[in-house]
Amino acid sequence: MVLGFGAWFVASRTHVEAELSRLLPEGATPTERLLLTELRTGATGRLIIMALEGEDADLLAGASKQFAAWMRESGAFQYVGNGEQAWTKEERERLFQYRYVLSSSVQASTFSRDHLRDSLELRLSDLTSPLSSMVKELIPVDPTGELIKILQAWMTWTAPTRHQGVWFSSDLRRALLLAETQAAGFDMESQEQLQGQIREAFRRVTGASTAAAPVHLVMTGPSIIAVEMQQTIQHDVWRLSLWATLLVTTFLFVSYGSVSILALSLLPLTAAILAGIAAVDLAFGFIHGMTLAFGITLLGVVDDYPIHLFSHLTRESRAPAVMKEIWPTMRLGVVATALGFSALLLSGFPGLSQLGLFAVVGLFTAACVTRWVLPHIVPIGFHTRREGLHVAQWVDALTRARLVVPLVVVLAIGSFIWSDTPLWEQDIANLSPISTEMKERDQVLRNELEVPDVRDLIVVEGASEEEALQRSETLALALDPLVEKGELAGYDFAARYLPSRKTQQARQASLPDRETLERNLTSAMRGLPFKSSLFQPFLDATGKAKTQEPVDMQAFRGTSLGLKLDSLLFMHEGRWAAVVPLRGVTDRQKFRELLMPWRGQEVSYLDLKEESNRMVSLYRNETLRLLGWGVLSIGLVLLVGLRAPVTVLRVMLPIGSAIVVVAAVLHAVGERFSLFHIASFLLVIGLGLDYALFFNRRHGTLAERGRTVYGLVVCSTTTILVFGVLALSQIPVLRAIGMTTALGSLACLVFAALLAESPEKPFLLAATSPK
Amino acid sequence: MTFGKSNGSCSLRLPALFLIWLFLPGPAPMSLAQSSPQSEREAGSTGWNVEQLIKSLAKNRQAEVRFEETAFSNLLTQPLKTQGILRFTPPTGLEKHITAPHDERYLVEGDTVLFESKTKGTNRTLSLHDSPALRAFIEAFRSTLGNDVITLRRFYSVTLQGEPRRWVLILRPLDKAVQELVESIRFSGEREQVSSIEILAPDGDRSVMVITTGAQ
Repeated sequence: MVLGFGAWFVASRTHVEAELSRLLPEGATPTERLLLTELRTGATGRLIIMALEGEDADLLAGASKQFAAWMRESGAFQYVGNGEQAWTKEERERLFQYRYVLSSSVQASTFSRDHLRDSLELRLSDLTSPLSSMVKELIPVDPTGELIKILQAWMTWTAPTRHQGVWFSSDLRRALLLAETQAAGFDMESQEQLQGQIREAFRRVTGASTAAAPVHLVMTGPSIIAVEMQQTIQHDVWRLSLWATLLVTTFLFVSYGSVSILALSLLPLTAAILAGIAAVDLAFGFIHGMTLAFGITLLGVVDDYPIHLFSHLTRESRAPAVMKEIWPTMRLGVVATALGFSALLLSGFPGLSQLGLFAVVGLFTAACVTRWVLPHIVPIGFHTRREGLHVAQWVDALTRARLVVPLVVVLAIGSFIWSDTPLWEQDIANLSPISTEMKERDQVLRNELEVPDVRDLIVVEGASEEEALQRSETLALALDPLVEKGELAGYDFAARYLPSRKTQQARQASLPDRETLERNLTSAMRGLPFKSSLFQPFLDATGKAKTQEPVDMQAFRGTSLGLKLDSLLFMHEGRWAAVVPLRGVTDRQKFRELLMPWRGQEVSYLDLKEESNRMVSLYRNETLRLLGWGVLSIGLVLLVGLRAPVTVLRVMLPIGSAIVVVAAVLHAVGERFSLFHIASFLLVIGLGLDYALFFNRRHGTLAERGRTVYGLVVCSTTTILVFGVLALSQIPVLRAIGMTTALGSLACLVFAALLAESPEKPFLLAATSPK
Repeated sequence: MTFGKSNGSCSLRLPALFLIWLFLPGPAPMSLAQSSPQSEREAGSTGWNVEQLIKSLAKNRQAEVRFEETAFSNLLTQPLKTQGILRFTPPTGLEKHITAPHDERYLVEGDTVLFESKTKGTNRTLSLHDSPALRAFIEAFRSTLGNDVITLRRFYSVTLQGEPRRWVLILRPLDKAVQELVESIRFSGEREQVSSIEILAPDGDRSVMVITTGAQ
């Protein structure tokens, strides 16, 4: 039911934020912030990799061409690549025109007599090739072979296999395409819409051929995975909440035998959710989908309030009077739980703060509704049909077995000490709901297209594009020896394709003037069979290159190289960053040390995997710390409210024991703890507090105690049903929350019963119910 | 001159270029026939055709022959000469090894081509899938000498002139991209022996490879 509401709200509210990163800390250093922003909004996140799968390679090639043509025309993509002409005619000409500033081999000696002679001899051997017609047109304009040197230097990317001019996997069963969307990767709505259009276009393109030789479309990429993930979660949540709602409704109906009571029990929760959303929206300007989902989960505790009221109603009593009687206990529970939740409010993390505010406001709203609204609308004369006397008797019997609790706790602690399963989940990847199938598909396509997922990178910053490029050029000089020594397999950087202005100008300066060049050339040509005026175009080209404007990023816009440059060099908050992705870092620790001298020069090394894991651990530890503060403040409130340390202990002890035991059980079944387990423990504390307070409430008659216990069993069963269903989810996060809370609720109830006041010594409870 | 005078506006064939730096000087050819004194047998036969010629070439093919090649280019004032060895290892292996004046090797095996040049310090492998033009070029030799008329006709229109005693087999590429590079490839021979292979480029450049001896 709780989840049903969650899903309904998520679906109906349009300005619910879906982007997870808005909940994450913004990064400790400017570099991290910049990187996070780029990962979210930059070219990396906008990448879509597509494969057309089928048996007939010729058919696939045709489909790839049509499909790519549609994509280029749609205007939704900045770049579409499928292997067909990587460069337009203009782009090729531009590249050729700038060869003397782009080629790293251009220096003064390139145009010396001796060097020219060597080059000319190589060109002669080119002409002995039967395919010389492919190169010969270049010889008069580019005798030193600069264009070929540029292409060679840029060939760090091995293009995939080609068939009929389009990219294919090596077995020719997949035609491969690569695209960069106009929409940002995190813009889930646009991405989802776009993906729908892509599938629609694919159906049109392959419509005719599907019967004979079926062609399948496979897509991957950050935005594809994100959309798919969201759909998986939504689907799972819907399915599970349907089951949970059904189970809980049936259960409550059986318990109270009244439809109107059933409806009324939803009132406080609904009010709580609405108030929570309003408060968060007011304070933060937006509410994140995750806040909503987790918030509603945390508010599950307020469903207990109306149940307490209903359980205490008798044939004779009037609801407002009953309410007044149980209010002190309930109030104490509300205040203490709210304090626990408010610890979240004080954290520096936007996500947790939202959650805290949502839960606290919701809690108070639900309490107020239960206290002042509900008693007046409960049908007069309603009472539970069951007195719960036998339940009370069982509980009384249970108190005789209270020694079980310390025994179980000792066992639990022992199992922790002796276990060698890691306590914490260190790898964020294990928390993600991405299916193995999806991960594998991503890997396969990335490998085939040679666009690996980058793990290690260096970020070089600068006040301007030029400064960032210059710094990365200096860095490259330090990286090259590492590549030679084998400590690094390779690296990529923007200045390889787009040298800094400084470098370009140095190359221009190294071009000799026309007379010198002509003299060197004439001398170099002596004795070689080249026609005498053959190299006139070469002399013209160098003369022109000497004075032309340097190349900038604009020159490559909309090409595959432009796509690469966009992801390697970009502006963030007025500063420029050049990213240097590294391949094959053998020893990360050593590498870090090697880069030490570069620190403080706006050069930072990042291990993305470690970085994201570190961030998650940070988040988790913060939550853990807040949990501690929450427990402490709950203790203090109880002390003030109950005024008897022994009773405080009596209330806190079952909760503490339950948490230890549940943790041990989860640990024993192989669960590793994450942020989500800890957040669930907070909910368990809220629930446990409620149970323990009511158990320790002064019971007048046996019948009264029976009603209390009956109410508690109903509360607990409801929780266990909802979260037990959640525990069946395939999504790790939902399963973690479900298992922890369901087990926690059960343990809290049992332990609270075990440790409750024995009926023989009622005087200890005097303080619980102040007059 | 095929090249535009204004260097900025020249239309470059980039895809071809990507291929070339992998593959620099010339790729190709294979081996031939020699020997075999079955000479006169079919001389006057009216049914003599491309299929029969190719079949007999394959039957009498030697594993290794020496060649001398002369390249004529309109960039040059005089032709360039090279020497080397051709090897054919059926059904898919083919090697051109230039031994003088520089050392260079092109080794075709199935769908890959290895280019090795000691002078240039290069050693690269290239997949034929990446370049239909190169594939077509290689098939001219591989199919002709490997008795695969079906493949040959997929890439070329094939004409046979002359008579069994003295013949010329002319291959003209069907594909537009290949036509830009090669006008025609002419195998000349006597009986079951190929004596020379001439490659004509559309701009008038040509190379003539003369098969000198069968290697031992």
